[in-house]
Amino acid sequence: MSRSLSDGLHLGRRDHGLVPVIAAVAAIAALALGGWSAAHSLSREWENGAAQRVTLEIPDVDGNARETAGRLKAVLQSDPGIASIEIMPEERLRELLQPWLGSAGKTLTDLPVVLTLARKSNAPTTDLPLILDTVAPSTIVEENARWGAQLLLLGRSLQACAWLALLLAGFATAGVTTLSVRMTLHARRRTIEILHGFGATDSLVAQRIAWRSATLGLSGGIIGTLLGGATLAIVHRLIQPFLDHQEASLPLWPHNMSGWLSVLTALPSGFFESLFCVPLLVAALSFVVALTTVHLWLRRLA
Amino acid sequence: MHLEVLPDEGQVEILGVDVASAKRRQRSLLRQRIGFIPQDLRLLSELDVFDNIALPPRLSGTGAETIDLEIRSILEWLGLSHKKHARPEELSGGERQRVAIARALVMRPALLLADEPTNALAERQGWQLVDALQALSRAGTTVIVATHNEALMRAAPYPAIALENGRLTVVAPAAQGEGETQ
Repeated sequence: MSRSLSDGLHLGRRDHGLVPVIAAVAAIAALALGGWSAAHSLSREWENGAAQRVTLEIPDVDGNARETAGRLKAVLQSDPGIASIEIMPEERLRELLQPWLGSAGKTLTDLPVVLTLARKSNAPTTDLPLILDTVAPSTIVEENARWGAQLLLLGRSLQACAWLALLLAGFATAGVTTLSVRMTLHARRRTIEILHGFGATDSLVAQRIAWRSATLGLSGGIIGTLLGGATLAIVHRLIQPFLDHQEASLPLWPHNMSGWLSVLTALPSGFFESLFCVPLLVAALSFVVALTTVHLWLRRLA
Repeated sequence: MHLEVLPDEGQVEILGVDVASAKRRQRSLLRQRIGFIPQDLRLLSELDVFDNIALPPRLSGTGAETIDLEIRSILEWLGLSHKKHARPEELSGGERQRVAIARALVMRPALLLADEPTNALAERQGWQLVDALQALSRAGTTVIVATHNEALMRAAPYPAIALENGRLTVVAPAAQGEGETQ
């Protein structure tokens, strides 16, 4: 029985309470990481996609709107700064307007023509107002870049918040570990003093306690990450229909194990790797904090 | 002398190491060369007799087989072989004292400090210990004993100093075994 505790430090009895606390912090870290990941991908999408898009609306005042749109499309297609330009089909426009126009929308004949164009990101800027003045002077322009910049700022702010939450989770882990190690040192003070008297080096005592803290950190980290990861997988499942229309037909809650597994595997693979790092980082942080705390505490002994 | 406190001023050298200027690791290594029998014994209650005695050699990285051999012979010499797996609270005062003695001797220290080592021992065991300390001294170990036992002082006429209220009162020169200290 005493073989496994041969140095008398007896570290395994008092600090199991650390695991649930670390698990809670790791779950918060996993959720923050999920928030960061979502904000990051949204920012990138807005930066690369939405911000480059422009919506053009040609009012059908004299019944020639569709012809004007065709001419405008031909001109803009040949412009080096334009990546693509599409005329929205009339059926699609009627679908979009139906919530506002109701059944009257089906019979209206003077609907405007809507074009969507995407600018090239690394190309000379197209002088859109000049082209429009020449080809279609009555066109209304909606530059997505205006609100795209705001969205980008919002996305980056969300990322900063997620980083801050991760940082706070790190501080909480360090604080909890310090407290736990100090309790261990207080409880095992006599033993440590005896070992010190027999010539135990500071590193030996510190590493024994630090490895114990790292093990507890890893256990708590794994539990917390699983909880946080499962929560994120469920949230991801719930928002999936909004992101992908093909997924709209899936049941809200899976009925079998493979369904639940598919909920987990639906998470982005890069995010999985980040989640995998959480318990390892928690363990490493616990180890370093415990090592430092014990070394500092041992300074009081000659 | 067991490096529990460092000098506030002046210089203290133990086994050729200036303890005040030595690095912490050097002091740890120095402690491994010093055997100490404290008056309060300082046995770890969670460990059995074997593991208590094995602490110093394990800390210095001695192999398990060597430790096993050393402890077996030292337990036999001290008459504690049958108590190898007993916990300190299961031992009598004399047995606990002998475990502390075994732990101090197991590393064959260069310096042995003994604080009232015969206190809890029966008379025969006390004299047995005195013989063992003398044998260690002859083998080259510096042995320093603190004791109130005047009979022991008379029977072992080695260089001695007497302290009263923390002050030096008597310095007795070596009557025999010049160069040895007890």
